Amino acid sequence: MTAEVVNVAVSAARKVTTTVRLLHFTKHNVLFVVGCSLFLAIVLAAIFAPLIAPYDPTAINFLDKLMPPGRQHLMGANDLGQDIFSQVLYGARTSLMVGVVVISLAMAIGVPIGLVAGYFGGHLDTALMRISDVFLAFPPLLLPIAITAALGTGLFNAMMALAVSWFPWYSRIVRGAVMRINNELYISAARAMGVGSVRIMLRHALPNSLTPIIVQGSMDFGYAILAAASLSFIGIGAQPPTPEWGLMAALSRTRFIDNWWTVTFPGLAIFVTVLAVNLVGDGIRDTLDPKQQ
Amino acid sequence: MGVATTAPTGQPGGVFVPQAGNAVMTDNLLEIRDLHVEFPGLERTVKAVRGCTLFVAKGEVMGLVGESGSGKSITALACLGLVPPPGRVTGSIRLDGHEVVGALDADNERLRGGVAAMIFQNPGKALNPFFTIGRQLTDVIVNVRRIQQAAARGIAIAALTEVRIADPDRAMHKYPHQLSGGQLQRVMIAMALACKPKLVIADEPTTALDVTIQAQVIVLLRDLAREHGLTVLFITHDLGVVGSVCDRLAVMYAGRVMESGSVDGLLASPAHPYTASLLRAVPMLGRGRTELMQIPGTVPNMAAPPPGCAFHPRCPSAGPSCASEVPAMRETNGGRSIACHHPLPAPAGSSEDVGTLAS
Repeated sequence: MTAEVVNVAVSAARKVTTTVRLLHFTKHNVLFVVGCSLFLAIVLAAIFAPLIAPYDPTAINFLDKLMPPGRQHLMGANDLGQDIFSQVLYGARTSLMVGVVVISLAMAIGVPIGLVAGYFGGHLDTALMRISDVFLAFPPLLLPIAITAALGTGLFNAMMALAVSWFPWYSRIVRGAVMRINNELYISAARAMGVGSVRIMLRHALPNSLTPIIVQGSMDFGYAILAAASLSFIGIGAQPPTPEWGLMAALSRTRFIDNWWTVTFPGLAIFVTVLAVNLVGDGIRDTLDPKQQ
Repeated sequence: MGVATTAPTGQPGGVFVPQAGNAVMTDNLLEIRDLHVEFPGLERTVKAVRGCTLFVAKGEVMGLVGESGSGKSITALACLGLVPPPGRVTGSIRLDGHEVVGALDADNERLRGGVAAMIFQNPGKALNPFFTIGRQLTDVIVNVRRIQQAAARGIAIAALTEVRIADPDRAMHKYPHQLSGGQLQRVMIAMALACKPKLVIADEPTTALDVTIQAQVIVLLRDLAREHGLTVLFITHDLGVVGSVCDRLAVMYAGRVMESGSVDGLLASPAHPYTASLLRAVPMLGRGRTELMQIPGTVPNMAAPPPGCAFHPRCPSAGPSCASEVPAMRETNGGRSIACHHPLPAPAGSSEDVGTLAS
C-alpha cells in the first residue's frame, strides 16, 4: 500500500520536473519559441496550401499582370498575372520537402559510412574517410552545380546533388561518436558475450551518436532549403512552373526596381523559413547538447 | 592430443601436460599451449604473453594470479579471440575443442557467450549506460540462445534471482547508474550464467568492489560454479581470494606461467621463489604492526624483458644460469609444474610464513 503511494508520488514528481524543466527552458529561450511558432506556421501553410491559397499558383491571368499587392492579390501578381501569395504558399511545400529529403538522404548515406568507418577503423576507415574528403574538398555549392550540370537540371537532381555533397558531415560526426565509445568496456563486454559487429553498431554505437546527428540535422535543414533555393535561382534547380521561392525570385529579378513585390515576398519567405529553422535548430542543440554552445 | 613430453626441451615454455601425463583431450575444456601475444609498435614491440601454457579441466576452478602487467588479462582475452588490434597472437588455444588462434572472428563469435563468457573487472563500465539492465540482459540472451524476447526476459529474471538480486523485476527496469557496484557485478554474473556457458572467465571480478562486497561476490561465484558444474578461469591478483575459490592455481609472471598446481599444495609449500615472494607480500591481519613485505625491484618492462628467467633480477635464489637460460616447465610430484632452475625445497621450507597463509 504505502509503497504504491510512494511510487505514485515519485512518478508524479518526475512528471512535474519534466514539465517544469520544459517551461523553464522555453521561458529562457524566447527565440526557440519564436522559431517553433514560425516553423509550425510554415508547416501548416504548406499542408493547407490548397485550402488557403486564393488562386491556382500556376494559373496565368494576363488581366492581373504585375498587379501590386492589394485586395485582389495579397502579395501582388507577377508578369504572368500569377498570384504571388498562392505561389509562396505552395513554395513552402517545395522547400520543406527539399529540406526533409536532402537531410534524410545525406543521413542515409553518411550514417552507415560513419558507423562502419568508426567501428572497424584501420584501412577501411582510411578509405571511407578519404572518399568522404573528396566531397568535402569542393566549395559547398560548386559540387551540386557540377553534379546537376552532369545529371541534368531539375529539383530532384538538385536534391540528390545536395545530399551527396552533404553526407560527409554526417559520416564524420557518427565516426567520431563511434570511436569515442569504441574503447568503452561495455563494447568489449558485449563482444565477449558473443554480440556481433552489426548488432553492436546498431544497438550500442548508433544510439550514442543520435544526439549529434539530430542537432546537426536540425541545423542543416535551413541551409539545405537555402542551397536548393540558390540552385533554383541560378537556374539548375526547380524549373517552371514548379512554385519554388528561389525560382520565383530568379524569374522576376529584372523587375525588382519597378515591381518590388515580385522578388521581395519569395525572398522574405526564404528568409523567414531559414531563420525559423535555425532558431529551432539552436534550441534543439542547447537542450540536447549543452556542451556545444 | 597425444602424450606430450615433459622432458626439458630447451624451448621456453615448451609443451607439457601439468596433470596426469596421459590426460585425454576431452578432460580439458581449455588448453592454452605456448601462447604468445605481441603488440608491435614503431619503436618497440611489447611482448605481453611469452609462451604461456595452461590447461583448465572441465568443472574445475582455475586461479590465475600474478602482478599487474603479467599478461593475465591478455591471456583471458586471447581465449575468446578478443585481443585488440594490433596485437599478434601465436601458439594454440583450444576452447571446447575449437582452435581459437587464427580462426575467423565470425567463428570465434559463436564461442563467445555460449561456450565461454567473460566477467569484467569494472562492472560499472561493462554495461551500456544508455539502456536498462533488462534490455541488455535480454538482448544478450536472445542473441546467444536464439530464443524469443519474452522467453529471454523470463531467463533474465531467473538469472537475476539466482545471483540474489533483490526484486529482480524492478532491477530489470533500472539503468546501470541506479545500481551499486556489487549489484552490477551480480548482473554481469547473471548475464554470463544466462548464456549457459561451459567456461566462465572472471577477470578480477572483485577488484573494483568494497571488501565486504568482494566476499559476497566471491562466495556467489563459487556457489554458482558448484551448482552449475561450471569451469571457471578466475583471474586475480588477490592471493587472499584464491584459497577460498579455486581448485588449482597458476602463477604468472612476465607473460609466462611460473608455477601451477593444486591450491592447497601451492599455498602451503610454494616451490617457485616468485610464488613464495608473492605469498610473503600478502598483508595479514592480527600479526601486529609488522612492516609490509615487498618484492624488491619492479615488474620488468615487457618491451625488453630480462633474458633467461624473467624473475631472476628480483629473485633471492637466482644463480648464474638463471640469467642466460629460460627454465623449462617441468612436472614435479602431485600434479604440480614449475619453471625454475632453483626451486625451493618442498615441505617445511620457510615454515612459519607459509603455514599461516595456508590456513
